[in-house]
Amino acid sequence: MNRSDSAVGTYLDDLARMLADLDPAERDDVLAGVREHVDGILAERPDDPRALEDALLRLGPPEQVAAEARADRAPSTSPSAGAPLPGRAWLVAALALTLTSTLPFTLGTALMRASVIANVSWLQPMAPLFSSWEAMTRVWPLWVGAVICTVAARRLAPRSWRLLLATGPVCYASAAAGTLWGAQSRVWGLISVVLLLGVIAGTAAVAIRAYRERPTR
Amino acid sequence: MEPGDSAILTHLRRGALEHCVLALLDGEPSYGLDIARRLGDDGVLLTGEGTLYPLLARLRRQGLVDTTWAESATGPPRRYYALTAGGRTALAAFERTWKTFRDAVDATLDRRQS
Repeated sequence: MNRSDSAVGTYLDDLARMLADLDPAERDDVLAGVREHVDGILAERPDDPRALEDALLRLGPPEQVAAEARADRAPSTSPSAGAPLPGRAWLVAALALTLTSTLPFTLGTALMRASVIANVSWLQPMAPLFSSWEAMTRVWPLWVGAVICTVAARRLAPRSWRLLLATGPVCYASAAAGTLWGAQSRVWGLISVVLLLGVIAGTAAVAIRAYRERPTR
Repeated sequence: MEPGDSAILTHLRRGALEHCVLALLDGEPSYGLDIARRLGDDGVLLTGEGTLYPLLARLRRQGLVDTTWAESATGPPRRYYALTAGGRTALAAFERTWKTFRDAVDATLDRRQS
């Protein structure tokens, strides 16, 4: 009894190991079926010492059973499966270009508004550099580059690339709002600073999230 | 059976074997050991008897068979597999398709010998 239990146990352990990547319910199903199969044979031939050996032989090697379990896992039919992912440099370039084309004027506008509210005068001569319409239009080549690289790298960040593309328009809109309305009063100035800081934090968060995505296909 | 035949058989079995199992269950439910025996031990339909169980699990997952437990006279309780309505439909479809397919293959093989 002990010997037969251990032989069956070994077989089932091996099989369980080979089925490790299967859905647990299905794996249990297969293991239970095989165990029942062997128990059935042993019950039919209780006095035959070769019954167990015979049963395991007829079951076939556990690899064969595992192969059958995997047989219906057809290769993925997704069009991008099998094609190599684009080089990670595309993603790095996309992130760098996105950040350099959005952060300067959003940060700049926030600083301008904050300096007006706080009456810090030394920053104000720098206003034209960061928060004017001219500054925003000056960075458009960087933004176009960012869009191209983001689209090229979309498979490297499948969950984040659309968000990344959205950061541009969002940053532009919030900087424009800050410039147009932020100057009207202290309250509006404060609101625009908070809005801009939120947008900057959001942009950084999206960039980090995109960078961290490591899809395998 | 010759040595090279097993690779071809593996391909041919795919899709056909599960329907053979459905055919065996048409009429009355059966349990694993019985199904394995009825599929034959000549290695044509079933290589190892163990390969039947992933197949049965798949059929169950696809809703083509249902299972119930029943006591057996000779030993431990057994799991019985029975066709569902979906299984019956799949079997009927296979029977239609298989006959056409088999006849087409036979005709092609025969044609070339004449």
